Amino acid sequence: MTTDDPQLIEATLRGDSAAYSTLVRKYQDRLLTALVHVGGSREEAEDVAQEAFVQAYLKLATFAGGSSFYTWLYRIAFNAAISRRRKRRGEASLDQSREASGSEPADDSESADERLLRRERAVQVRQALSQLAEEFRSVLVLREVEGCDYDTIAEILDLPVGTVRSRLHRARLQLKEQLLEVLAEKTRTAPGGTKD
Amino acid sequence: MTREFSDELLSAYLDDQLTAAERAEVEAHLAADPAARQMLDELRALSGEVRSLPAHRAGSDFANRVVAAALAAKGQQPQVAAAPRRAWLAATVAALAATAAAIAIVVWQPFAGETNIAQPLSPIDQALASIAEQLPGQDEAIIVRVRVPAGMNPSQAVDLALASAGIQQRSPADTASGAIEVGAAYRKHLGEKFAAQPGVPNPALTAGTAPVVDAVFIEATWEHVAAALTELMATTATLPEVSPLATIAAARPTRAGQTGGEAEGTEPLPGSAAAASAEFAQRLPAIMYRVEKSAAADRPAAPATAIDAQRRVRVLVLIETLP
Repeated sequence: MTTDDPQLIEATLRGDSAAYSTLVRKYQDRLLTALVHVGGSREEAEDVAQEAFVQAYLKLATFAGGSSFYTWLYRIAFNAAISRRRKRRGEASLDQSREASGSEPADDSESADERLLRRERAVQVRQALSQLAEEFRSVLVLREVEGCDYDTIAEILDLPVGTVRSRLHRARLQLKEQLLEVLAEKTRTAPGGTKD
Repeated sequence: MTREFSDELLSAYLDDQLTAAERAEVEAHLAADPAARQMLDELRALSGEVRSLPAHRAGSDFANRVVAAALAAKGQQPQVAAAPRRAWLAATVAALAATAAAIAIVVWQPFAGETNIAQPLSPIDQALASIAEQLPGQDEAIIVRVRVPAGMNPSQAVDLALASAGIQQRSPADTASGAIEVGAAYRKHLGEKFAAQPGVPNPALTAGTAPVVDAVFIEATWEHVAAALTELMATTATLPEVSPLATIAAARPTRAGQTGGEAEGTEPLPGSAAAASAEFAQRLPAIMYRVEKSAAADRPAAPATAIDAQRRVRVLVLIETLP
Protein backbone atom coordinates (compact mmCIF):
# COMPACT_ATOMS: atom_id res chain seq x y z
CA MET A 1 0.00 0.00 0.00
CA THR A 2 1.20 3.52 -0.77
CA THR A 3 2.34 5.79 2.04
CA ASP A 4 1.88 8.93 -0.02
CA ASP A 5 -0.48 11.29 1.82
CA PRO A 6 -2.58 12.52 -1.14
CA GLN A 7 -3.17 8.97 -2.33
CA LEU A 8 -4.04 7.76 1.16
CA ILE A 9 -6.46 10.66 1.58
CA GLU A 10 -8.05 9.95 -1.78
CA ALA A 11 -8.43 6.26 -0.91
CA THR A 12 -9.92 7.16 2.48
CA LEU A 13 -12.45 9.44 0.83
CA ARG A 14 -13.41 6.54 -1.43
CA GLY A 15 -14.26 4.56 1.70
CA ASP A 16 -11.03 2.63 2.21
CA SER A 17 -10.64 2.67 6.01
CA ALA A 18 -7.37 0.72 5.79
CA ALA A 19 -5.89 3.74 4.00
CA TYR A 20 -6.85 5.97 6.89
CA SER A 21 -5.39 3.44 9.30
CA THR A 22 -2.10 3.79 7.40
CA LEU A 23 -2.28 7.57 7.75
CA VAL A 24 -2.92 7.23 11.47
CA ARG A 25 0.02 4.87 11.94
CA LYS A 26 2.23 7.22 9.95
CA TYR A 27 1.61 10.19 12.23
CA GLN A 28 0.40 8.80 15.56
CA ASP A 29 3.74 8.78 17.38
CA ARG A 30 4.74 12.21 16.12
CA LEU A 31 1.42 13.73 17.13
CA LEU A 32 1.37 11.98 20.50
CA THR A 33 4.89 13.19 21.32
CA ALA A 34 4.03 16.78 20.45
CA LEU A 35 0.81 16.68 22.46
CA VAL A 36 2.52 15.27 25.55
CA HIS A 37 5.05 18.10 25.41
CA VAL A 38 2.45 20.76 24.78
CA GLY A 39 1.31 20.04 28.27
CA GLY A 40 -1.14 17.25 28.59
CA SER A 41 -0.46 14.10 30.48
CA ARG A 42 0.23 11.01 28.39
CA GLU A 43 -3.33 9.91 29.04
CA GLU A 44 -4.77 13.23 27.93
CA ALA A 45 -2.46 13.39 24.94
CA GLU A 46 -3.76 10.02 23.75
CA ASP A 47 -7.33 11.24 24.19
CA VAL A 48 -6.62 14.40 22.22
CA ALA A 49 -4.74 12.51 19.50
CA GLN A 50 -7.65 10.13 19.12
CA GLU A 51 -10.11 13.01 19.02
CA ALA A 52 -8.02 14.80 16.41
CA PHE A 53 -7.72 11.78 14.15
CA VAL A 54 -11.48 11.20 14.39
CA GLN A 55 -12.23 14.86 13.63
CA ALA A 56 -9.78 14.83 10.74
CA TYR A 57 -11.51 11.75 9.34
CA LEU A 58 -14.90 13.41 9.57
CA LYS A 59 -13.63 16.63 7.96
CA LEU A 60 -11.32 15.02 5.44
CA ALA A 61 -13.44 16.07 2.48
CA THR A 62 -12.83 19.70 3.45
CA PHE A 63 -9.05 19.32 3.51
CA ALA A 64 -7.98 21.48 0.62
CA GLY A 65 -4.37 20.40 0.49
CA GLY A 66 -3.09 23.95 0.92
CA SER A 67 -0.83 22.73 3.72
CA SER A 68 0.48 19.28 4.53
CA PHE A 69 -1.95 16.78 6.02
CA TYR A 70 0.09 16.73 9.21
CA THR A 71 0.00 20.51 9.63
CA TRP A 72 -3.76 20.41 9.18
CA LEU A 73 -4.10 17.50 11.59
CA TYR A 74 -1.84 19.18 14.11
CA ARG A 75 -3.93 22.31 14.03
CA ILE A 76 -7.04 20.28 14.81
CA ALA A 77 -5.22 18.51 17.64
CA PHE A 78 -3.69 21.69 18.99
CA ASN A 79 -7.06 23.42 19.14
CA ALA A 80 -8.58 20.38 20.87
CA ALA A 81 -5.75 20.34 23.41
CA ILE A 82 -6.07 24.05 24.14
CA SER A 83 -9.81 23.73 24.46
CA ARG A 84 -9.44 20.92 27.00
CA ARG A 85 -6.82 22.73 29.01
CA ARG A 86 -8.89 25.87 29.21
CA LYS A 87 -11.71 23.84 30.63
CA ARG A 88 -9.60 22.71 33.51
CA ARG A 89 -7.12 25.50 33.91
CA GLY A 90 -5.01 25.54 37.02
CA GLU A 91 -4.33 21.86 37.42
CA ALA A 92 -0.88 20.99 38.66
CA SER A 93 1.48 19.86 35.97
CA LEU A 94 4.25 18.31 38.03
CA ASP A 95 2.75 14.87 37.65
CA GLN A 96 2.58 15.43 33.94
CA SER A 97 6.29 16.03 33.73
CA ARG A 98 7.02 12.97 35.77
CA GLU A 99 4.58 10.89 33.85
CA ALA A 100 5.67 12.03 30.45
CA SER A 101 9.21 10.83 30.67
CA GLY A 102 8.74 8.95 27.44
CA SER A 103 9.55 5.48 26.25
CA GLU A 104 12.20 5.83 23.65
CA PRO A 105 13.94 2.67 22.49
CA ALA A 106 17.06 1.80 24.41
CA ASP A 107 20.38 2.78 22.94
CA ASP A 108 22.65 -0.27 23.15
CA SER A 109 25.76 1.86 23.43
CA GLU A 110 24.45 3.53 26.57
CA SER A 111 24.80 2.03 30.03
CA ALA A 112 21.78 1.65 32.28
CA ASP A 113 23.11 4.38 34.57
CA GLU A 114 23.61 6.74 31.64
CA ARG A 115 20.09 6.03 30.53
CA LEU A 116 18.76 6.84 33.99
CA LEU A 117 20.67 10.10 34.06
CA ARG A 118 19.36 11.05 30.64
CA ARG A 119 15.82 10.27 31.70
CA GLU A 120 16.25 12.29 34.85
CA ARG A 121 17.45 15.23 32.77
CA ALA A 122 14.49 14.78 30.45
CA VAL A 123 12.16 14.92 33.45
CA GLN A 124 13.80 18.20 34.52
CA VAL A 125 13.41 19.73 31.07
CA ARG A 126 9.82 18.55 30.93
CA GLN A 127 9.18 20.03 34.35
CA ALA A 128 10.67 23.36 33.30
CA LEU A 129 8.67 23.27 30.06
CA SER A 130 5.47 22.60 31.96
CA GLN A 131 6.02 25.76 34.04
CA LEU A 132 5.88 27.99 30.96
CA ALA A 133 2.75 29.83 29.96
CA GLU A 134 0.78 27.92 27.37
CA GLU A 135 1.53 30.43 24.59
CA PHE A 136 5.28 29.96 25.11
CA ARG A 137 5.13 26.20 25.47
CA SER A 138 3.17 25.78 22.27
CA VAL A 139 5.53 27.77 20.15
CA LEU A 140 8.57 25.99 21.62
CA VAL A 141 7.13 22.54 21.00
CA LEU A 142 6.21 23.41 17.45
CA ARG A 143 9.71 24.66 16.76
CA GLU A 144 11.90 22.26 18.74
CA VAL A 145 9.89 19.05 18.82
CA GLU A 146 7.99 19.39 15.57
CA GLY A 147 10.74 21.21 13.68
CA CYS A 148 8.23 23.59 12.12
CA ASP A 149 9.51 26.71 10.38
CA TYR A 150 8.12 30.07 11.48
CA ASP A 151 5.60 30.24 8.64
CA THR A 152 4.11 26.88 9.62
CA ILE A 153 4.00 27.83 13.30
CA ALA A 154 2.24 31.05 12.33
CA GLU A 155 -0.27 29.08 10.28
CA ILE A 156 -1.00 26.57 13.04
CA LEU A 157 -1.26 29.14 15.82
CA ASP A 158 -2.91 31.73 13.63
CA LEU A 159 -0.33 34.38 14.50
CA PRO A 160 1.77 36.85 12.50
CA VAL A 161 5.26 35.52 11.75
CA GLY A 162 6.80 38.43 13.67
CA THR A 163 4.90 37.41 16.78
CA VAL A 164 6.12 33.85 16.39
CA ARG A 165 9.70 35.10 16.24
CA SER A 166 9.50 37.27 19.34
CA ARG A 167 7.43 34.76 21.29
CA LEU A 168 9.83 31.95 20.54
CA HIS A 169 12.77 33.96 21.81
CA ARG A 170 10.96 34.92 25.00
CA ALA A 171 9.92 31.28 25.45
CA ARG A 172 13.54 30.17 25.28
CA LEU A 173 14.62 32.77 27.82
CA GLN A 174 11.85 31.71 30.17
CA LEU A 175 12.69 28.05 29.73
CA LYS A 176 16.28 28.79 30.64
CA GLU A 177 15.13 30.52 33.83
CA GLN A 178 12.77 27.70 34.72
CA LEU A 179 15.44 25.08 34.14
CA LEU A 180 17.77 26.90 36.50
CA GLU A 181 15.01 26.97 39.10
CA VAL A 182 14.34 23.26 38.70
CA LEU A 183 18.04 22.50 39.11
CA ALA A 184 18.27 24.78 42.14
CA GLU A 185 15.26 23.08 43.70
CA LYS A 186 16.79 19.67 43.04
CA THR A 187 20.03 20.75 44.74
CA ARG A 188 18.10 22.08 47.74
CA THR A 189 16.11 18.89 48.18
CA ALA A 190 18.92 16.42 47.45
CA PRO A 191 20.23 14.40 50.42
CA GLY A 192 22.98 16.41 52.05
CA GLY A 193 21.60 19.72 50.76
CA THR A 194 23.63 22.07 48.68
CA LYS A 195 27.15 21.28 47.61
CA ASP A 196 29.98 23.64 46.91
CA MET B 1 23.82 55.71 13.83
CA THR B 2 23.02 52.03 14.07
CA ARG B 3 19.76 50.82 15.54
CA GLU B 4 19.77 48.79 18.75
CA PHE B 5 20.38 45.07 18.28
CA SER B 6 17.40 42.91 19.17
CA ASP B 7 18.24 39.66 21.00
CA GLU B 8 15.36 37.89 19.34
CA LEU B 9 17.37 37.95 16.14
CA LEU B 10 19.70 35.45 17.80
CA SER B 11 16.89 32.93 18.15
CA ALA B 12 15.85 33.44 14.56
CA TYR B 13 19.51 33.12 13.50
CA LEU B 14 19.72 29.84 15.37
CA ASP B 15 16.61 28.67 13.55
CA ASP B 16 17.87 29.85 10.17
CA GLN B 17 14.78 32.02 9.79
CA LEU B 18 16.38 35.35 8.88
CA THR B 19 16.57 37.33 5.70
CA ALA B 20 20.02 37.76 4.17
CA ALA B 21 20.24 41.31 5.53
CA GLU B 22 19.27 40.27 9.02
CA ARG B 23 21.74 37.39 8.92
CA ALA B 24 24.54 39.77 7.98
CA GLU B 25 23.54 42.07 10.82
CA VAL B 26 23.59 39.20 13.33
CA GLU B 27 26.93 37.90 12.17
CA ALA B 28 28.48 41.33 12.45
CA HIS B 29 27.07 41.68 15.93
CA LEU B 30 28.32 38.24 16.96
CA ALA B 31 31.80 39.06 15.71
CA ALA B 32 31.90 42.16 17.91
CA ASP B 33 30.09 41.04 21.05
CA PRO B 34 31.24 38.07 23.19
CA ALA B 35 28.05 38.26 25.29
CA ALA B 36 25.97 37.75 22.19
CA ARG B 37 28.09 34.72 21.26
CA GLN B 38 27.55 33.30 24.73
CA MET B 39 23.82 33.85 24.51
CA LEU B 40 23.72 32.11 21.14
CA ASP B 41 25.59 29.14 22.62
CA GLU B 42 23.12 28.98 25.50
CA LEU B 43 20.14 29.15 23.17
CA ARG B 44 21.64 26.39 21.06
CA ALA B 45 22.20 24.17 24.11
CA LEU B 46 18.67 24.82 25.33
CA SER B 47 17.26 23.99 21.94
CA GLY B 48 19.19 20.72 21.99
CA GLU B 49 17.77 19.84 25.40
CA VAL B 50 14.19 20.24 24.21
CA ARG B 51 14.86 18.44 20.94
CA SER B 52 16.32 15.47 22.79
CA LEU B 53 13.21 14.94 24.90
CA PRO B 54 12.17 11.35 24.41
CA ALA B 55 9.58 10.46 21.84
CA HIS B 56 6.34 8.79 22.80
CA ARG B 57 4.90 5.79 21.05
CA ALA B 58 1.22 5.10 20.69
CA GLY B 59 0.06 1.65 21.71
CA SER B 60 -0.02 -1.06 19.08
CA ASP B 61 -3.82 -0.91 18.96
CA PHE B 62 -4.10 2.87 18.71
CA ALA B 63 -4.75 3.06 14.95
CA ASN B 64 -7.37 0.32 15.11
CA ARG B 65 -9.14 2.16 17.91
CA VAL B 66 -9.03 5.45 16.07
CA VAL B 67 -10.40 4.00 12.85
CA ALA B 68 -13.14 2.16 14.74
CA ALA B 69 -14.09 5.39 16.53
CA ALA B 70 -13.97 7.38 13.29
CA LEU B 71 -16.17 4.89 11.47
CA ALA B 72 -18.59 4.85 14.40
CA ALA B 73 -18.68 8.66 14.46
CA LYS B 74 -19.47 8.77 10.79
CA GLY B 75 -22.17 6.17 11.33
CA GLN B 76 -23.86 8.40 13.90
CA GLN B 77 -22.71 6.40 16.91
CA PRO B 78 -21.34 9.13 19.12
CA GLN B 79 -21.22 6.92 22.15
CA VAL B 80 -18.36 5.02 20.57
CA ALA B 81 -16.67 8.05 19.08
CA ALA B 82 -16.73 9.89 22.35
CA ALA B 83 -15.61 6.94 24.43
CA PRO B 84 -13.16 8.18 27.03
CA ARG B 85 -9.74 6.69 27.31
CA ARG B 86 -10.51 4.51 30.28
CA ALA B 87 -13.22 2.75 28.34
CA TRP B 88 -11.05 1.97 25.38
CA LEU B 89 -8.15 1.15 27.65
CA ALA B 90 -10.20 -1.74 28.97
CA ALA B 91 -10.75 -2.81 25.40
CA THR B 92 -7.05 -2.46 24.73
CA VAL B 93 -6.11 -4.66 27.63
CA ALA B 94 -8.63 -7.20 26.46
CA ALA B 95 -7.22 -6.94 22.96
CA LEU B 96 -3.74 -7.43 24.37
CA ALA B 97 -4.74 -10.73 25.90
CA ALA B 98 -6.54 -11.69 22.74
CA THR B 99 -3.52 -10.80 20.65
CA ALA B 100 -1.33 -12.97 22.86
CA ALA B 101 -3.65 -15.84 22.04
CA ALA B 102 -3.44 -14.85 18.40
CA ILE B 103 0.34 -15.07 18.54
CA ALA B 104 0.03 -18.62 19.74
CA ILE B 105 -2.27 -19.34 16.84
CA VAL B 106 0.18 -17.87 14.39
CA VAL B 107 3.00 -19.90 15.90
CA TRP B 108 1.08 -23.12 15.47
CA GLN B 109 -0.25 -22.23 12.06
CA PRO B 110 2.65 -20.38 10.51
CA PHE B 111 1.45 -20.92 6.95
CA ALA B 112 -2.23 -20.49 7.55
CA GLY B 113 -2.33 -17.57 5.19
CA GLU B 114 -2.99 -13.92 5.70
CA THR B 115 -4.50 -12.95 9.01
CA ASN B 116 -5.62 -9.63 10.32
CA ILE B 117 -5.55 -10.79 13.93
CA ALA B 118 -1.92 -10.83 14.95
CA GLN B 119 -0.07 -7.60 14.52
CA PRO B 120 3.53 -7.75 15.64
CA LEU B 121 3.69 -6.99 19.34
CA SER B 122 6.65 -5.21 20.86
CA PRO B 123 8.62 -7.25 23.43
CA ILE B 124 7.09 -5.07 26.13
CA ASP B 125 3.55 -5.72 24.89
CA GLN B 126 4.30 -9.44 24.68
CA ALA B 127 5.54 -9.49 28.25
CA LEU B 128 2.44 -7.65 29.45
CA ALA B 129 0.19 -9.96 27.47
CA SER B 130 1.75 -13.02 29.09
CA ILE B 131 1.07 -11.54 32.51
CA ALA B 132 -2.41 -10.36 31.56
CA GLU B 133 -3.30 -13.94 30.67
CA GLN B 134 -2.70 -15.03 34.24
CA LEU B 135 -3.96 -12.16 36.34
CA PRO B 136 -4.77 -13.34 39.83
CA GLY B 137 -8.19 -13.65 41.39
CA GLN B 138 -9.42 -11.81 44.46
CA ASP B 139 -7.48 -13.89 46.95
CA GLU B 140 -4.48 -14.57 44.80
CA ALA B 141 -1.33 -12.74 43.82
CA ILE B 142 0.90 -13.12 40.81
CA ILE B 143 4.67 -13.38 41.05
CA VAL B 144 6.50 -11.62 38.23
CA ARG B 145 10.18 -11.90 37.39
CA VAL B 146 12.01 -8.92 35.86
CA ARG B 147 15.54 -9.51 34.60
CA VAL B 148 17.77 -6.45 34.36
CA PRO B 149 21.28 -6.06 32.95
CA ALA B 150 24.17 -6.89 35.24
CA GLY B 151 26.05 -4.06 36.86
CA MET B 152 23.16 -1.76 37.60
CA ASN B 153 21.19 -1.02 40.71
CA PRO B 154 17.55 -1.19 39.66
CA SER B 155 16.14 0.54 42.75
CA GLN B 156 16.16 3.98 41.14
CA ALA B 157 14.51 2.60 38.02
CA VAL B 158 11.81 0.97 40.15
CA ASP B 159 11.23 4.25 42.01
CA LEU B 160 10.91 6.13 38.73
CA ALA B 161 8.59 3.52 37.25
CA LEU B 162 6.28 3.55 40.28
CA ALA B 163 6.18 7.34 40.41
CA SER B 164 5.59 7.51 36.69
CA ALA B 165 2.63 5.15 36.99
CA GLY B 166 1.18 7.15 39.88
CA ILE B 167 1.78 4.38 42.43
CA GLN B 168 2.68 5.60 45.91
CA GLN B 169 5.24 3.72 47.96
CA ARG B 170 4.35 2.70 51.48
CA SER B 171 6.83 2.22 54.27
CA PRO B 172 8.58 -1.17 54.18
CA ALA B 173 7.60 -1.43 57.86
CA ASP B 174 3.86 -1.34 57.04
CA THR B 175 2.59 -4.68 58.29
CA ALA B 176 -1.05 -4.09 57.37
CA SER B 177 -0.75 -3.85 53.61
CA GLY B 178 -0.86 -7.57 52.90
CA ALA B 179 2.56 -7.46 51.19
CA ILE B 180 4.30 -9.52 53.85
CA GLU B 181 1.63 -12.23 53.67
CA VAL B 182 2.00 -12.48 49.90
CA GLY B 183 5.79 -12.70 50.24
CA ALA B 184 5.44 -15.45 52.87
CA ALA B 185 3.00 -17.38 50.68
CA TYR B 186 5.44 -17.24 47.77
CA ARG B 187 8.34 -18.43 49.93
CA LYS B 188 6.18 -21.28 51.20
CA HIS B 189 5.24 -22.16 47.63
CA LEU B 190 8.92 -22.25 46.64
CA GLY B 191 9.82 -24.31 49.70
CA GLU B 192 7.13 -26.87 48.92
CA LYS B 193 8.29 -27.12 45.35
CA PHE B 194 11.83 -27.95 46.43
CA ALA B 195 10.79 -29.91 49.54
CA ALA B 196 12.72 -27.51 51.70
CA GLN B 197 12.41 -27.39 55.46
CA PRO B 198 12.69 -24.12 57.31
CA GLY B 199 16.23 -23.55 58.59
CA VAL B 200 17.65 -26.64 56.87
CA PRO B 201 20.03 -26.08 53.94
CA ASN B 202 18.57 -27.44 50.75
CA PRO B 203 21.09 -27.84 47.90
CA ALA B 204 18.32 -28.39 45.36
CA LEU B 205 16.67 -25.08 46.29
CA THR B 206 20.00 -23.25 46.20
CA ALA B 207 20.97 -24.78 42.87
CA GLY B 208 17.57 -24.37 41.28
CA THR B 209 16.96 -20.76 42.22
CA ALA B 210 18.77 -17.45 41.99
CA PRO B 211 18.82 -14.49 44.39
CA VAL B 212 16.98 -11.29 43.60
CA VAL B 213 18.26 -7.73 43.94
CA ASP B 214 14.93 -6.04 44.60
CA ALA B 215 11.47 -7.16 45.65
CA VAL B 216 8.43 -4.93 45.33
CA PHE B 217 4.83 -5.71 46.12
CA ILE B 218 2.24 -3.71 44.16
CA GLU B 219 -1.48 -3.54 44.75
CA ALA B 220 -3.16 -1.48 42.08
CA THR B 221 -5.39 -1.65 39.06
CA TRP B 222 -4.04 -3.65 36.14
CA GLU B 223 -3.81 -0.36 34.24
CA HIS B 224 -1.39 1.04 36.82
CA VAL B 225 0.60 -2.17 37.12
CA ALA B 226 0.98 -2.39 33.36
CA ALA B 227 2.10 1.24 33.22
CA ALA B 228 4.72 0.66 35.92
CA LEU B 229 6.07 -2.49 34.28
CA THR B 230 6.20 -0.76 30.91
CA GLU B 231 8.17 2.11 32.37
CA LEU B 232 10.48 -0.27 34.23
CA MET B 233 11.18 -2.25 31.08
CA ALA B 234 11.74 0.87 29.02
CA THR B 235 14.15 2.23 31.59
CA THR B 236 16.20 -0.77 32.55
CA ALA B 237 16.25 -3.31 29.88
CA THR B 238 18.25 -3.64 26.74
CA LEU B 239 16.25 -6.81 26.25
CA PRO B 240 13.08 -6.62 28.32
CA GLU B 241 12.53 -9.87 30.12
CA VAL B 242 9.45 -9.87 32.28
CA SER B 243 7.51 -13.03 32.89
CA PRO B 244 4.96 -14.44 35.32
CA LEU B 245 6.43 -17.08 37.65
CA ALA B 246 3.42 -18.29 39.56
CA THR B 247 0.01 -17.42 40.85
CA ILE B 248 -0.31 -18.11 44.54
CA ALA B 249 -3.16 -18.08 46.99
CA ALA B 250 -2.90 -15.29 49.55
CA ALA B 251 -6.00 -13.91 51.18
CA ARG B 252 -6.39 -10.16 51.30
CA PRO B 253 -6.06 -8.67 54.76
CA THR B 254 -9.25 -7.53 56.44
CA ARG B 255 -9.96 -5.68 59.64
CA ALA B 256 -12.68 -6.85 61.92
CA GLY B 257 -15.23 -4.27 62.96
CA GLN B 258 -14.33 -1.86 60.22
CA THR B 259 -17.66 -0.57 59.16
CA GLY B 260 -16.99 3.06 58.58
CA GLY B 261 -14.47 5.83 58.99
CA GLU B 262 -10.75 5.48 59.06
CA ALA B 263 -8.42 4.49 61.84
CA GLU B 264 -5.71 6.76 63.16
CA GLY B 265 -3.16 8.13 60.79
CA THR B 266 -3.38 9.08 57.19
CA GLU B 267 -2.94 5.67 55.58
CA PRO B 268 -6.16 4.06 54.44
CA LEU B 269 -6.78 0.73 56.05
CA PRO B 270 -6.50 -2.30 53.83
CA GLY B 271 -9.94 -3.47 52.99
CA SER B 272 -11.44 -0.01 53.40
CA ALA B 273 -13.00 1.88 50.56
CA ALA B 274 -10.08 4.28 50.60
CA ALA B 275 -7.56 1.44 50.42
CA ALA B 276 -9.47 -0.12 47.57
CA SER B 277 -8.96 2.99 45.51
CA ALA B 278 -5.33 3.68 46.43
CA GLU B 279 -2.55 2.37 44.22
CA PHE B 280 0.41 1.45 46.34
CA ALA B 281 3.69 -0.42 46.37
CA GLN B 282 5.81 -1.68 49.21
CA ARG B 283 9.40 -2.82 49.19
CA LEU B 284 10.17 -6.20 50.71
CA PRO B 285 13.64 -7.34 51.81
CA ALA B 286 15.19 -8.76 48.65
CA ILE B 287 17.47 -11.08 50.62
CA MET B 288 14.46 -13.18 51.59
CA TYR B 289 13.46 -13.96 48.01
CA ARG B 290 14.76 -16.17 45.24
CA VAL B 291 13.47 -17.02 41.77
CA GLU B 292 13.60 -20.31 39.94
CA LYS B 293 16.27 -20.38 37.29
CA SER B 294 14.02 -21.91 34.66
CA ALA B 295 10.52 -21.45 35.84
CA ALA B 296 7.42 -21.50 33.77
CA ALA B 297 4.20 -20.24 35.27
CA ASP B 298 2.64 -22.84 37.54
CA ARG B 299 -0.80 -22.21 36.23
CA PRO B 300 -1.68 -22.83 32.60
CA ALA B 301 -2.57 -19.70 30.71
CA ALA B 302 -6.22 -18.89 31.08
CA PRO B 303 -8.28 -18.52 27.95
CA ALA B 304 -8.06 -15.00 26.64
CA THR B 305 -11.01 -13.11 27.98
CA ALA B 306 -11.77 -9.46 28.38
CA ILE B 307 -9.63 -7.96 31.13
CA ASP B 308 -10.87 -4.89 32.90
CA ALA B 309 -8.09 -2.32 33.08
CA GLN B 310 -9.59 -1.22 36.38
CA ARG B 311 -9.37 -4.71 37.83
CA ARG B 312 -7.41 -4.57 41.05
CA VAL B 313 -4.48 -6.97 41.18
CA ARG B 314 -1.68 -7.84 43.56
CA VAL B 315 1.73 -8.43 42.07
CA LEU B 316 5.02 -9.36 43.68
CA VAL B 317 7.79 -8.16 41.35
CA LEU B 318 11.11 -9.91 41.89
CA ILE B 319 14.05 -8.35 40.12
CA GLU B 320 16.92 -10.55 39.10
CA THR B 321 20.21 -9.55 37.55
CA LEU B 322 21.07 -11.19 34.25
CA PRO B 323 24.20 -13.32 34.48
